[in-house]
Amino acid sequence: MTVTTVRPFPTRGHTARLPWPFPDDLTEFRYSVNVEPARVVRRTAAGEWGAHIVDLGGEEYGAIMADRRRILDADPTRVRVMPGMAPACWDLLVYYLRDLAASYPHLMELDETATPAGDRFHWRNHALGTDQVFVLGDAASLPCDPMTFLGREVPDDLLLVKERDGRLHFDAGLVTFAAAWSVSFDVGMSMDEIHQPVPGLTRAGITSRAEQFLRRLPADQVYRRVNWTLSASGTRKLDVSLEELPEWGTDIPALVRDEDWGRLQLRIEVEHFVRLPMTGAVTFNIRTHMTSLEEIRQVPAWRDQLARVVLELPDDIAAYKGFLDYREPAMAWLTAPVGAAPHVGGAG
Amino acid sequence: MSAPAVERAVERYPAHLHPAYATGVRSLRVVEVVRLTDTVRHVVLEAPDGGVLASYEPGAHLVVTTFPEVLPTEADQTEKRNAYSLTGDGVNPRRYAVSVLRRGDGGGSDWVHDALAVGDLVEVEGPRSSFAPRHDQRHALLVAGGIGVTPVLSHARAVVRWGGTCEIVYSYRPGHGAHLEDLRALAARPGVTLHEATTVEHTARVLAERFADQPLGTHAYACGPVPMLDAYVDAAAAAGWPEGRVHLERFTAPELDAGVPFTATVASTGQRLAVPPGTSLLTALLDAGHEVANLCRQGVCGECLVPVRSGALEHRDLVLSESEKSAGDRMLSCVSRGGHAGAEIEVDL
Amino acid sequence: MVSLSQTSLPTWAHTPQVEPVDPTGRVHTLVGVTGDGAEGDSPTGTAVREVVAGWQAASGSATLHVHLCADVAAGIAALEADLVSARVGHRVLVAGTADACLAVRAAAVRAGLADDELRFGVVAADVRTVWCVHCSATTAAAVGLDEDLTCSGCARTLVVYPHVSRRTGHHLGFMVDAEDQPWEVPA
Repeated sequence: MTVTTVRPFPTRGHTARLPWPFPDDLTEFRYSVNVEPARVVRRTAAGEWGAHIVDLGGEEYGAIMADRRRILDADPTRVRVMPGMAPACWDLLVYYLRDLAASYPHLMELDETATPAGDRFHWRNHALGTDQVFVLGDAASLPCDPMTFLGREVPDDLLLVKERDGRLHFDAGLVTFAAAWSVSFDVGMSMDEIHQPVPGLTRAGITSRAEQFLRRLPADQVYRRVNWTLSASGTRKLDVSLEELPEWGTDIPALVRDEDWGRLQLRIEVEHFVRLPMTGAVTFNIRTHMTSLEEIRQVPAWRDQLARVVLELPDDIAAYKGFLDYREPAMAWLTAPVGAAPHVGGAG
Repeated sequence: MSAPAVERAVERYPAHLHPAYATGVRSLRVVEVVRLTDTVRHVVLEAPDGGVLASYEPGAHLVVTTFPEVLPTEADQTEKRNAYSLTGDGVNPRRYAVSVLRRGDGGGSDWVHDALAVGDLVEVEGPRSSFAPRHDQRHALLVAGGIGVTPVLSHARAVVRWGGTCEIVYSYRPGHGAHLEDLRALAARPGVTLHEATTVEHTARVLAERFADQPLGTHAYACGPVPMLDAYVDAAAAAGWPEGRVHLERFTAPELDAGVPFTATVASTGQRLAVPPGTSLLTALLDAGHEVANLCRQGVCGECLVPVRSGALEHRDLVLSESEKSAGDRMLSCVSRGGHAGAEIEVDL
Repeated sequence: MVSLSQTSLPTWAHTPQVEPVDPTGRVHTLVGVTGDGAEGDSPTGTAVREVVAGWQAASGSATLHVHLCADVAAGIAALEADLVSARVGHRVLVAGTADACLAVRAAAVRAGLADDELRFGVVAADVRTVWCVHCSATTAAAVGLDEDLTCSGCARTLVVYPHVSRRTGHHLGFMVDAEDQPWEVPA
């Protein structure tokens, strides 16, 4: 490989892959249904992202999946599938395995054969060592349900939305990394039932427009959306679910007390929307990324933009996102010349 | 998100990487043609490379480009697009099959009967979901009249494929029961029963009986001619079924009057469109340069649904449920109109 | 604050009201959860019996199965026994406290009934059953929406969200400090 340009900032690894949530010229953030076509590569100040629907996470893939599998093993309620949703879970599994094999041909393979016993698939994931033969629709041919099988291969939280009684319902989900969400409570609810604890999203009818968007999602397009907040956790811990709240709930108060702003995390969620053809279910899959203010400070364009966006937010959105009380000292730390602020702790 | 930007991006980055998700306009080869009855022809299609085709929901249809000799509308039109229900279970298919009734009007169905032969390439689009089952149905009551058997057969096959249970009512004229043998074969399996009826009176009697004896959580589906669908709806109501459990697909819409004049505002541009009697909102939108997908233009297929922000509506379609109609946030632009003469509505386009 | 009409909480679960009999139903199961103990009729029980009597009078020619039960468990048992061989066309009407109605609704939904096959007559709405997201214990208490209670399982202080599970009839409760934390659901 020939290196022709030397970039001033790290262009490999975590930072280079990060789906920076703001366009270059954005200075004010407001909630919107900011969807765009999937698979479009976006360049950022530190690298690029977005070529594939599934972002394996480079060298972090193994660690992320070990964390995911640990949580699934310990807490089976992280997966919930409502009655009648098994076909949609198969639809999801086959779509994703086909997509993975096409996106990462050096790591993953899927062979398909029609047999008298049904459609036989042979899945090999050389990065994780998975080698599994299964028959579409035959639950006994997999070691677990199809949604869990997929959830143990990809870092995305998996949610399936389906229409009944004229409303979209979250009727199947596997969630280990989503913020302050309880899959065992929320699966089976309609979107407008779930939105109650999310005042920010009801503002200006955004939930209703998001629902309209999902309802009309065409079969021949795949869309994505990027969402962000400052994370509840002062570490790169991805699982800030309600279930593990006692584990992470004290992080931020301690971080604020110690003014340890470098540890504060920007949490970025990339959502993908695919209409699955066999069942009409729509995916609401979420890939979560974390990066610390310490890391963001290394990229001047990001540093300046994040500070501008966070400080400009109206108080109600900042309160909803949870950082109204500390955004000013945190952003002051971020934009202070390096060395001016005491360096406490570090990015994990 | 502006539409042109989306189109450019999609051109450069195909949405789906695997060929089994292609639903755009493409050619399939006719691999089998079977005469089911004097008037029904069964046509089986495959990808030219024999590969896997896009899966579909039970009850979906395939849009087929036909070349009828007698053209119903403009003289310069040389082709027509017809929607035909697929008869398979929709699971990872390698073949698409449709059964087409000869209408005898010189239209697309006659072309399928007279011109299509094994080996031909036909242009198709879809499948498109149009009459899908409820995923949470505990049991299904499937009612078919005449050629309405095609989506019902698809539903029944999917029920069997996924291990569910169903009852089928098939109303046909003796000698014209397309797919009767297929349904009888399905009924030989556990969890599937078939009730046949060959007269109007017999059909009404069977419907009354079957609606009175379905387990909790059952959803009912029917496809067939209007008189049978009326009998179906009446039987459901008499047995105390709530509307949400009674689904139907109509072939033809009733004749509609020209309707009232109204004004539609396009939310994204503020453009105001006057829609006079005899002109549909769909036509007004298309004439003004707005891309609105459409197919049947009779309020049957659901393709031309547009979201509505405000204004009184008169719904004249056969697609939306009563609760969807009363929500007032969407309409089928081909037949539905402003709620009264001079009404102002705002469409979210 | 989002209006409660948009949430998973039915209106009757926070404001007592009696819904009318659905005249299209062919068979009605009426379940009254009276809360009566060994010492005799409670005020709740009297109100519940009135609601059930009103429904009976308004049922026309439909077939009725009436069950007056002392507690939720007995109400659910009576309902489930009725529904074993029930056919579509059946309606279920439940009278009792909001908490009892939510619990019986969950059983009806499990049996395959949809919202338009269910009616409720709520005589009081002050007690709620709250499910702790941290330890999965449930705690029943006279507590308002957005108020706190102590979890009977893990002793954490939980805040009661106006967010109720159709599957269980329980309100969602989680650690009160979380209100100060950033959190959101995907949408």
